[in-house]
Amino acid sequence: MTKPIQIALISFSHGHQMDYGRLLAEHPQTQLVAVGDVPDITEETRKVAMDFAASHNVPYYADYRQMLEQQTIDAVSIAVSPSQNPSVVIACAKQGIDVLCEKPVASNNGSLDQLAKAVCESGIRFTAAIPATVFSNAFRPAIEQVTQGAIGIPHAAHFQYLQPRGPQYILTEEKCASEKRGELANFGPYGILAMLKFFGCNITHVFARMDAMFYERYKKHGVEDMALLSLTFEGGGIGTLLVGRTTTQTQLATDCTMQVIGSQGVLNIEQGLGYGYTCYQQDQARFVPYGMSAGQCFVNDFVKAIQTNSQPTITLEHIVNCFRVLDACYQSSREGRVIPILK
Amino acid sequence: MSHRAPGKLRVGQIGCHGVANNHAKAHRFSGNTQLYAVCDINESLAQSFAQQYDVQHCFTSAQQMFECPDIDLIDLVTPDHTHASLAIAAMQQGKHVLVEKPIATNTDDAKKMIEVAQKNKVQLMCVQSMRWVPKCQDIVKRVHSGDIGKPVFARMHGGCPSFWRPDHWPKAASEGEVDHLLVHNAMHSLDLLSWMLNDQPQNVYTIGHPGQEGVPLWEFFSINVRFAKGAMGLFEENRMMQPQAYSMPGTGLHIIGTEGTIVMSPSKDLSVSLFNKDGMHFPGSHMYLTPEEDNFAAMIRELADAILQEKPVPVSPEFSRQVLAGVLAAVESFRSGQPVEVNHD
Ligand SMILES: NC(=O)c1ccc[n+]([C@@H]2O[C@H](COP(=O)([O-])OP(=O)(O)OC[C@H]3O[C@@H](n4cnc5c(N)ncnc54)[C@H](O)[C@@H]3O)[C@@H](O)[C@H]2O)c1
Repeated sequence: MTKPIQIALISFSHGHQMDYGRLLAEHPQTQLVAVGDVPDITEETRKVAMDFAASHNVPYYADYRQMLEQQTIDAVSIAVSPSQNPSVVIACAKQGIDVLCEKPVASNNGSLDQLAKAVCESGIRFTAAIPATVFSNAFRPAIEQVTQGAIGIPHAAHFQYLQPRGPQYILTEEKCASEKRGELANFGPYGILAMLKFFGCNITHVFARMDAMFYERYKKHGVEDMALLSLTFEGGGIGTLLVGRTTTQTQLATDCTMQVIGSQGVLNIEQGLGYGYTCYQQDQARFVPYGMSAGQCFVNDFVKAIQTNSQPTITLEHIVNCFRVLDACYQSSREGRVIPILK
Repeated sequence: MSHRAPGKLRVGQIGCHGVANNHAKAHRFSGNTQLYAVCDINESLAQSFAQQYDVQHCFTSAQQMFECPDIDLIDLVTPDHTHASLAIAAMQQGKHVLVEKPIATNTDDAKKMIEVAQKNKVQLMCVQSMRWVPKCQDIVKRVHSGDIGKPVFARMHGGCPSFWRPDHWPKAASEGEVDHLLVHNAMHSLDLLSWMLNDQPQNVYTIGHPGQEGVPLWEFFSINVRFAKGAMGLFEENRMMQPQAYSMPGTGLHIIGTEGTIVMSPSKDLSVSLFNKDGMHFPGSHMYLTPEEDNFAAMIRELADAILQEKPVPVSPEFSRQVLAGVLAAVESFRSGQPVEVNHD
């Protein structure tokens, strides 16, 4: 039997650590060895990390750097704030530790470049937590089919992701004020990544419109709750993307659909977050997919990449292109023009 | 002179090919129009068309038809570049005019047409046949009555390979008009979205794809629109040869408001779903066109009613002119690769 992969989790600043980090820590081929944190986080998130460490019987380090020095670690799941991601990733890369990182992986192009350079030079496996679409039980087989030529060469695609859960889930006043980015930053990567997967090449130009259509708080801070993108790909393919958080709460499930028109056929995904059942409870609807969840598939994919020394499905190149596209979208919306994407 | 049926307008239709058949059939079923004369510069076409639709009077000169005092309404179904000059000549003879889309090929011509209509106290309307598809009518009624709050986004998508006219390709290709589909068809969708949002396009950005090899014209366009009052819109012109992925008329609609959403799904048998604070509804899922009563007949009936009762026509020519301005901006955007402000002068 091969030795289990030694895992550490770094911070619970994003709720997803409880999903992907936990799945990684509890994977049959891994072993959780420690939980670490970055300094200057809230007591609340520190407590979550400490509780997690205690419940899994592993040490907790208030400073992850100390953890990296003292423990033998093969891979980490990082969920610090976007501006802190690059330095943590770089520290791990320097030690040859594979990384699963929460999105967005950086807060600006400069720090993204540094992150990418460190990842490339170290040769570690690096992936980002954007699994909702490409690992859903609807998208996974669809991407496989299209990649194998089921509809010929993809020419045009449309993706939409409309989260209808309304006011009680919108960004907090503080987040709106500090980040100045709203639902495009939140949901856009799901669509951009799906597009990159279907087209199999990078985006070269973007044009974006965005606005606060629904929520006063977003209007007040100039943060978007809806965005409409027009994208051009290498080789001439084109795509459009609509994302937003609507108020249509009676439309319980997220309206996630995609259409890809190819030279020899069309592919429609009608329930992009996968097939499953929805459990309607008093004030919420919980979606339970048939088979494995997107998060589980994503974590399995990362573990497999480590074991087989291959690239994960969501690669550094995808992540970088996705990040640049998102950044260019905000620029396009501000300046009202088409923005070319830096190579 | 033949006997004039009461409550019916006498129609002289110009153009006896292609979509002309939809018009001629519609006059049969409208109830308040009578196809009285037909005209085409192609004489044999005009004659066989007259025979097919049981029309007594047949012309090869539009001008002669305009001089015929028995005709109330000219139905203009000729190529786009002829619309302005023929409509103006007809109105100067005191005829009301229904002109196929686009109203003209440039907004100055459209302006002139509107002036001539006013001066001669006749009615002018541009065909926006999609508006009378029963489900579209129903959806727009709901949007306008506030069922989904203020509409902030509208999308129209889908496509109909069967509407691609290969006989139009060589001329367009030889004139370098690879965006023929955009130039000649985008007004359908843009009119529908503008009508739904009760607004005018203000800024447009177009991307496209050439589609299959061997077709000299581009087969796919996607137009990203900002409307004057702030809503966003998206529509596609699509003739990429597809498997039968869509049922006719192959159109999907999606309108999002501040308090709800309406969706017409092209892949689910065009069913309509409405989501708002009152719950989920499935209105109008069984409204279909019938072979007799189609959208052209309904449109012509409403136009003729307006003329007979001296009311405003259902689609104002000024609205069609604004839509045309939006389409021309979309064409310019495709050619320049940048978003374009719509010129509403
Ligand atoms: N509303 C719709 O759904 C729809 C659909 C198709 C076309 N159209 C519009 O209808 C118009 C006609 O399109 P089509 O595809 O049927 O064209 P077509 O080329 O098939 O037919 C046009 C006919 O007009 C005749 N004609 C040309 N100039 C004339 C003149 N000066 N006097 C008399 N006859 C003349 C031609 O001989 C020809 O028979 C166009 O403006 C087009 O944009 C609308």
